[in-house]
Amino acid sequence: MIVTIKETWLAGGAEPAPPAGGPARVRSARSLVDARGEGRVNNSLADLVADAGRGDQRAWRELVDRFSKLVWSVARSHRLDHADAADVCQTTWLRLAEHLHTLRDPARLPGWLATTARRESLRVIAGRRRETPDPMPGEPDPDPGYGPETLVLIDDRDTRLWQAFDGLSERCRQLLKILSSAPEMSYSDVGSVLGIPIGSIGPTRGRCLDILRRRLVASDFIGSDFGSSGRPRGSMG
Amino acid sequence: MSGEEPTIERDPLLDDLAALFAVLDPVPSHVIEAAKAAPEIVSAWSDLDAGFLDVLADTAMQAVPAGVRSGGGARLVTFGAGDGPDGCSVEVEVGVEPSGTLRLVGLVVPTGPGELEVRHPGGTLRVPVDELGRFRAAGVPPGPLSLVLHGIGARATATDWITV
Repeated sequence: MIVTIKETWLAGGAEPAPPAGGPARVRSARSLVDARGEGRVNNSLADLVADAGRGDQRAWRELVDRFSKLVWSVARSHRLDHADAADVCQTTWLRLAEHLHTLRDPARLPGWLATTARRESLRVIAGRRRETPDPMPGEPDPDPGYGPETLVLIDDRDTRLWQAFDGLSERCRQLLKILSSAPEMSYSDVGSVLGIPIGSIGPTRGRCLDILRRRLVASDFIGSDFGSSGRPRGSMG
Repeated sequence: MSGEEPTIERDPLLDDLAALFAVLDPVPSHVIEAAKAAPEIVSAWSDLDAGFLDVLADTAMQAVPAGVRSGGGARLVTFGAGDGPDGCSVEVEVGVEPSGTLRLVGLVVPTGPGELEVRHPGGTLRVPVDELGRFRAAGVPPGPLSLVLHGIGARATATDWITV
């Protein structure tokens, strides 16, 4: 029996009404993802965990395929650069390999991975700060954001979605990044990863998505130019 | 695809964001490959009867009081408890060498003599533990790290993995 978070999604509080014509989709980015075949894994998580715990390589690799995005997104949502995020991911997976056979509740695996990645991210951040005690005054934290060379990969609509997202608060960006990469995570796990009380996750999620949606409407991502961009409203998804 | 699992009620904007991140910030393939190799790294040293020590303290994680400069002292990591032998612990001071590699200086309880193995994704290195429990290892690559005690206490003991 896989415990997922459908109920809590549904109970998650203020869900902003989609704008008339239905919510917009980022089609170009999505089609790339679909082309890679992500998201079609459907083996029972409990079976995968049990098999991997017994040393089944195929099951382990499937677990990695399924959750590497979650672990990476937790590290990156702490603004770690690629090298540090890679270290955090590897430590997290090494820990799991060491502890998998003792994991009692497979449904907790996404939360365990996210919590471990968060703790290691904080460790790396604190460690780096310690190694460089005297940063230049006023020097901002290095931002592992996405430069023009990355942004050329996406079209105008994706760019507007990115800009709207990038303008959100740190908390909203972290929450939405983790929620988008981990549909299997429970609200209590999301809460413990981000240090947000479980009762606040639904309302915070609703508020963050609401702000994002308003920004998108303002930037014409959703709404008036929808038909004129050659993507008629009826054929989304 | 579908069938046994119910559908997730999910805001389509989250799917849009997931698709965007998959393009803007994909998980690098070397990160995925490293994750897939984790069981091999772990089982390169495997002893089912081994004890396991948790991370009990890491001074890197402690808040620095206001007005005190951080970075003054070396980072100190303490491993212990877990299901390791009673009273077994490892304290290790992590210093950065000029070349960027790490220098570990530490103390093992119960005392040696014995050997300490430093595990990292690229391999292992072994250093002696003296009769007072002291050890010293140089040239350790930064990144994930675990320590294994050999010949100290009743049984082999490993520490959990930690990023240094």
